[in-house]
Amino acid sequence: MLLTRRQMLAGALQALAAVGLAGCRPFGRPAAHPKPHASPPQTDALLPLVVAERAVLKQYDDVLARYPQLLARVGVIRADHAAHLDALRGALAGPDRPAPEGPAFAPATPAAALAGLRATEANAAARLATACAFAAPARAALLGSVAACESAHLVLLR
Amino acid sequence: MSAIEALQRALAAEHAAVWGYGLVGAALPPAQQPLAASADQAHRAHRDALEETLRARRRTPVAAAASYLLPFPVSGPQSARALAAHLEQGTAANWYALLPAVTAPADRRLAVSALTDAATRGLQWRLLLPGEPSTVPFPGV
Repeated sequence: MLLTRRQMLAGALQALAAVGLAGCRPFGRPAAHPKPHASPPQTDALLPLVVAERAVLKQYDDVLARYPQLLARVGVIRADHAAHLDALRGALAGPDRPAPEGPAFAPATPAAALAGLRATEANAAARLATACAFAAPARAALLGSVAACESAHLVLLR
Repeated sequence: MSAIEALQRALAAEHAAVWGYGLVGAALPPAQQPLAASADQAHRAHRDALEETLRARRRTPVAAAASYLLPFPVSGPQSARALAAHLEQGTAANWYALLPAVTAPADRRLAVSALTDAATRGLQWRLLLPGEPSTVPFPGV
C-alpha cells in the first residue's frame, strides 16, 4: 500500500500486532461457544454454509474424477474450497452434519463442467455475502473473505 | 478498532489506490489499459461511497495525501502491474478490517462488494505477474 510516513508507522505497529495474533488457523473457534455436550445440540446459523461449502467441494471432486485434464485449471480452486470448508467448520459452534449421499455431478462435456462450476461459484459468493451482511462481528470477516475469494474464482473459470 | 476509524482507514487506502493507478495507467501497454481504467473507476466509486458513509455519520472524511511513498520504483509495465497487485492487496486488507468493525448490513454489503472487487482485480493482475500465486484462499487476510 502507498502510505504517508505517519500511516507507515501506524501500519507497521498494526502489522506486528497482526503477526502476534496469527496462528495456523486465522479464524479459530471463539472461546465463548458452548461445549458440544454441555447442552442439547443447537443448530448454528453457520451450518447451512458449511453444508453448502461441502457440496461445492464435492462438485469439484466429481468434475475432476470425470475430466482429470481440468486439474491444472481447477486444482487451485478446489484447494481454496478445502481451506474454506476447514475455516467454516472451525467457526461452527454446534454439531456438523455428515456429508449427504447423492448422485455425482455429471456434465456432458468439460465446457459444461466449467459452466456448472461458474454458476456454483456465483451462487456460493452471493449466499456468503448475504450471510456476511447479517453475521455477528466475529464471523463477518471470515464470511466476507470467503465470498470475495469464491467470486474471484470466476476469473479462472471463464 | 472503531467503525469510524475503520471507515477512515479504508478511505485512506482508496485515496492511495486512486493516486497509485495514475502511475500504473501511465506505464502499461495498451492491452492492459482497460483493466487499469476499470480498476481506477472502481476505486473512485468506493472512495466516494466511503466519503458519503462518513458524512452521513457527521464525520469529516480524511483527505488524500499530496504524495505517497512507493513500495518500489515503477519503471515499466512489469513494476506497474506489480504496483497494481499491491494496491489491490492493500485496499483488500482495509476492507477486510472494516467488516467486523461495522454492523449495519449496508456497510457490510459495501465492504464485501469492495473486497470482492479487490480480490478479483488482484487475481487478474497476479495472472500477469510471473511467479505469483493466482488465487489466494482468504483475500484481505
